[in-house]
Amino acid sequence: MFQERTQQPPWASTAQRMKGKRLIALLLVAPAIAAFPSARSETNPPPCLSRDQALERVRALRDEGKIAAIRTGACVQQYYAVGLTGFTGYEQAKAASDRLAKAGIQAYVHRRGRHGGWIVWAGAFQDSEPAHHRLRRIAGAGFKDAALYPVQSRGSGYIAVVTGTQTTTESPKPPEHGSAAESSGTIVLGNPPPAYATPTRGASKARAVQFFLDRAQVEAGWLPDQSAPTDNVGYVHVSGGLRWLPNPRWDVKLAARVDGYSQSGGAHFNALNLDYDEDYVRYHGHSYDVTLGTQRILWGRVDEIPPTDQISVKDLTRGPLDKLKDRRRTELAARLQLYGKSSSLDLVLLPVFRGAELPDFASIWSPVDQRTGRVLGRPPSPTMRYLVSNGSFEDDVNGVGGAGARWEMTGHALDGGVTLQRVRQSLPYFELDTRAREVLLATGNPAAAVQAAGGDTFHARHPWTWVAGGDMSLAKGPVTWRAEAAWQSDVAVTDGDTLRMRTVPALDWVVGGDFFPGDRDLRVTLQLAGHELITPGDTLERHRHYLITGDVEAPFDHARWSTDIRFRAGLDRSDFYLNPELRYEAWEPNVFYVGAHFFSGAPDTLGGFYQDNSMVVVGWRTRM
Amino acid sequence: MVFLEGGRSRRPTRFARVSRARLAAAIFSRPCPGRQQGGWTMFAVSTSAIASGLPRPSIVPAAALLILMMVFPAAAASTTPEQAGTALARKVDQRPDGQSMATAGTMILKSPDGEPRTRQYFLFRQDESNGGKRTLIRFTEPADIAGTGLLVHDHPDAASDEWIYLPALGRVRRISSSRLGGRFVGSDIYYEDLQTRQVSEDHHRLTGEATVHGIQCKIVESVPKDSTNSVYTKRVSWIDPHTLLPLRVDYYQGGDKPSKRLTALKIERIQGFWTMTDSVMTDLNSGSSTRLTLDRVRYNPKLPASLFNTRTLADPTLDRPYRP
Repeated sequence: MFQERTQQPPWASTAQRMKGKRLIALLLVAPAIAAFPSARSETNPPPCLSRDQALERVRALRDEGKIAAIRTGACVQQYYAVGLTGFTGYEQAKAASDRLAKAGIQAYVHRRGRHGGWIVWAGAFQDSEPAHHRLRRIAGAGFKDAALYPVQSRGSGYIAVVTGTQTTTESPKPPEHGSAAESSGTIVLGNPPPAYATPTRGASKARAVQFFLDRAQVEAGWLPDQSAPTDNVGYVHVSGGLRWLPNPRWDVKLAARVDGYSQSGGAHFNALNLDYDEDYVRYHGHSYDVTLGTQRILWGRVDEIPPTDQISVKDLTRGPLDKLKDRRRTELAARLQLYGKSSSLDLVLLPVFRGAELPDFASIWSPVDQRTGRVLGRPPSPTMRYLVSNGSFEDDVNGVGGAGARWEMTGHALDGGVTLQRVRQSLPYFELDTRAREVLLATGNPAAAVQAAGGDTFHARHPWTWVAGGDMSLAKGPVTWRAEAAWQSDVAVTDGDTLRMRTVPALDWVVGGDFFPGDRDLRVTLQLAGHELITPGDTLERHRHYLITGDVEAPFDHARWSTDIRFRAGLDRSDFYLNPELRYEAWEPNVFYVGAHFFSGAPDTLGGFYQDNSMVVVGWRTRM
Repeated sequence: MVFLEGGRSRRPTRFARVSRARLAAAIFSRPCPGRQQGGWTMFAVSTSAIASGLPRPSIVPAAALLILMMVFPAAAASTTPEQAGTALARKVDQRPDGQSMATAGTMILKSPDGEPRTRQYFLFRQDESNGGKRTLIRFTEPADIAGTGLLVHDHPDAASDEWIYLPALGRVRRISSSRLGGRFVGSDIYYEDLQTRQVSEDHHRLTGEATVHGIQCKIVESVPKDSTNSVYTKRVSWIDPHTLLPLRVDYYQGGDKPSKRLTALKIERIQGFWTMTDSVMTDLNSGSSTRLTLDRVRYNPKLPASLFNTRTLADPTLDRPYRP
């Protein structure tokens, strides 16, 4: 790709071998000839130029209609040497040299031939001005006989060479006036390796209106388990829209999404759902943003299960298959974000409540499994089985959604935030109808209870709750630690005696971190999480549970491939979910993947509830 | 070789020219007693060709001139290789590069057996008055990483804070700045290569000179003082002393052979600042390479401090007005 030649100073190797003038002459001449192959033909080498001077000369030659280029080659360099002569003996010259040294002037003694006496050299300069300055200093030290000895030394440096004549009379096109890259000198150092396409890049002018495809996904799954509710599942997703940025202040986004679901070979189910995505108008002030419209608001800091993320709308249509952001829907909100130097305040008002997006009851991901008579998070029982299988469910989605505030700071190695919210819980809590409950308590007959309800057997409740929490992340050494906790004032539970729904306080917390073992590309995230009901009394729900979640991601083959393993495992109960995935990402922006979702665990855990849904999937995702 | 024109004045302005043979005959050397400078022995050089009536300059033999250039700071480097290397490294570090910069760049990733993958990005840099630096990188192509941003705050005490925004996450995430290895967006550029390394963190040594594409460069070897703060055991840089740009850098990760090599392909003078606008980082073990080109560069644009905070990191529309 390039030629290089490591060149030792000519005198370095001769220092130990210098013997006699003949050898000196050869050593002086030979390197000069070797270094400059054309030296014999260059009896009149041009003067050496500085880089800038050479470039100027090339420009001038081009203006004259010549084709010129900057080269390095043999040239003559002018120097000014400062010396004191007239010393007949070494000691005399040495004394002068020492006196100069005391005056801060570095000097060296040389012999002027066998009978020529001694000379003290006190500096060598490329410009005359510093040379004269040195003369004045030497005169100030008491030496009046110093003199300048201009010399020329043949060496290698920058020169401007004419390589031809331009065929047109036009002057070279000057750099674009006012262009961002107004260069006055360019040095090409070689050709790039073959197989590199010359990169082309359009103008940076951003279009005011942009159409975008946020995500497109097609996935097919196969459930091999004999007890699986279905054999095959399919999923199609498209989300996108347009964005209008008329000026740096305003931002208008209009987007929608389409989700298609299918199941075959068992619990047959097909659905195609259209939903709004982020549709908002945003104004960027100097230190604030105002956003009105439907938005996806994700608070919190930890992965997968952030406790302070109580203001967003959960999406349960695919269970736990997708990552956090894809398990959230948008909601109507008025948002004000205020920014300080290293802190921000986020204020959100939800004028209309939107509950969690639930799948159809026929979907294998429904939290209500009418096929087996189970509800996610509730321990199974014969009574519950009958009620769920034969009853009906009503969802209350009316009312306002609440409000919240989050203050966040960024600092040296530490970020943190606190939040206070008054919101309705996105996930529904299915309360047994009052009439059905009374009959069930009186008779113990679930069939009579279902009949007594008249309308819906279960009513979905989204109780109001206060949420107070905080989060932090700390970069310490190779690990980035994260922690988050949230206290909720009202978490719905079912009383064990009365079967009545009530609310109790609860605490959720997560601590963890991510790191890169071996400081390579492998990323590991591990989190320890806990959920605790505070003084709950007798309830149908577990009072506490603890689990560990994690994600191990490893790109390889220069990120053309990657593997990703997500998992969660209960620490106090059997509750296990594993999602390995192999991705091919070389054909950007497409991602082709093959993966698996494996569930197992106790019946009242997520792993146990979905354990018949273990599947192998293949799919494709893209963005535009 | 020295070619001088004759001159009889005390401080001549003309130069003497003598034949090569006469010069060879006129000079000899003999070691000066007790003089040793920088590991090289000084020589007494005959000035018999100098005309009588001195001080009248006529000939300063080449050996004497070379020695003068070697020992005098005005025409030569520092005394020891370590001092010279450190001085040059300091000059490279302090090379003028503007108080701020906005660039549009392209990154081409090439594996030995695969098609090239292209990434386009914008990079913004702002030097702070306290010696710190803030950098924002925003990827715009391809679509699967469009919007991805990396924000780095380099503090004067060499500490750094880093955050990343991934559209797939939908949130800003603090990451560890002590991550040195690992490929940045799958390229051959490690995270350490993106960081500013202080001159004082390495032992520098000038090991010689070599020509790179016809440009005489000085070779500086840099070895980390603390092996834990670098993934490299050694870096050898070929530095153009005029532009103070490294035209080639060999990165070692143990062993005698480099594992990576940065090669400059084009340097341009933009707004008076020499800029490497085309370079290739090659993984010498695997044969993969990453080519970086700067398509548009603007020095000293007015960049607001608000460009370099997490608000802008989380919203790619906020850095659009400043893209070159």
